Amino acid sequence: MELDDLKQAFARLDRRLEEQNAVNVAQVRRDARNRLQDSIRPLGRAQTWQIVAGAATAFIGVAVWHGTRDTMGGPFVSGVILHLYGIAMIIFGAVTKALIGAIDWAGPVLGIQRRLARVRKAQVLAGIVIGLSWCVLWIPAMIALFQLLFGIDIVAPSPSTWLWLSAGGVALMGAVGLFQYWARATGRTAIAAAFDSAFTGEHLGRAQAELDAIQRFERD
Amino acid sequence: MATPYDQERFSALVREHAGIVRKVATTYCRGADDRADLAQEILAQLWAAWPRYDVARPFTTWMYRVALNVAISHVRGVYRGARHFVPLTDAHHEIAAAGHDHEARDELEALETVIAELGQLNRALLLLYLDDRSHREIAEILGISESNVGTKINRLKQRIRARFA
Repeated sequence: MELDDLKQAFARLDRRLEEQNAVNVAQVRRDARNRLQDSIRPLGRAQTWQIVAGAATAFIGVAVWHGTRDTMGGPFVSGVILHLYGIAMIIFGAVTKALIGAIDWAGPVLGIQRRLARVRKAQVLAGIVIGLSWCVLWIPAMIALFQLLFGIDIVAPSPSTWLWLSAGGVALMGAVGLFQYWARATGRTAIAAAFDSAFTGEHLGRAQAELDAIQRFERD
Repeated sequence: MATPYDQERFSALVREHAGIVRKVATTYCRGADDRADLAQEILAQLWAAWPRYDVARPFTTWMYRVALNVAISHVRGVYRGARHFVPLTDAHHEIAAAGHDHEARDELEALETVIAELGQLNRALLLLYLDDRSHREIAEILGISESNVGTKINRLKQRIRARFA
């Protein structure tokens, strides 16, 4: 069997498919806008939600630090942290969205695919950083929310509250570890796999694999 | 550049070269529904990119670039995690049922095997070669040099020879 022998098979297959389904150009024009928004840019949709969440977080942060700037205590610091975190989310989201929006699909295949793979990798990395930072961030978030909703500074009565909150964080992570162990021990592989995916950067590995495949194709 | 509302010209060109969309969808998707879905996605993106089309450049090169970029992205999104292409079983059976000879069926099986074993970019190279595109056009579509295209096609030939020896 030679490569050129496959040309006949390819032409035969195409003729058969041509008879079966003609391309409906008119219908495409009608559906084009919805299709593009719904399917071709899933990365962009994720960034939109990230920007919205970032704006909400920044808004809470500003509300808290602005209301407590006279005391400069725990709520003020927590508000500032949330404000900065929200801004970082917005910047990550906006930059990624701009990169996706600027992609010219009529560019050379290798260049466009490399660019898409880089954007995907950056998005996954940002997601991991944004997600994992909540291991620590939930502490200022709790302080800020208590201050915002009830006007209570939960740190002020006792500075050791920071210690208790940190201990709570460690306990929470321990509970997550135990839950993961239980999922493995009892054969609940889907749950265990979801944990692996979330904590070991499986998506990052896939994004890097795409980039590696492009480099291999260029090099070989 | 093409005028943004030059719909008739777009329709005529796409109809004339509809085979490109069909071939790309056939190469990257299993099953009739998946192929139709990808074909629609390609056509939608062609329509969106049409206002930026430079009429001084070949339409087929532009169309192939858009179609392949959308197809590869579609496959990475839809079949994320799937390691292997599943052969075009329904198309194969239809052609087999249509009374084609034994040799034709063997060739079709070989084509499916080759497509299934190739990565997304090599699959694009195979498709362009089987569609009788010149080395220059393949180079322009993929964004590699003409000499690189020649080298890669020779490797592909060796690979297929070894695979079916």
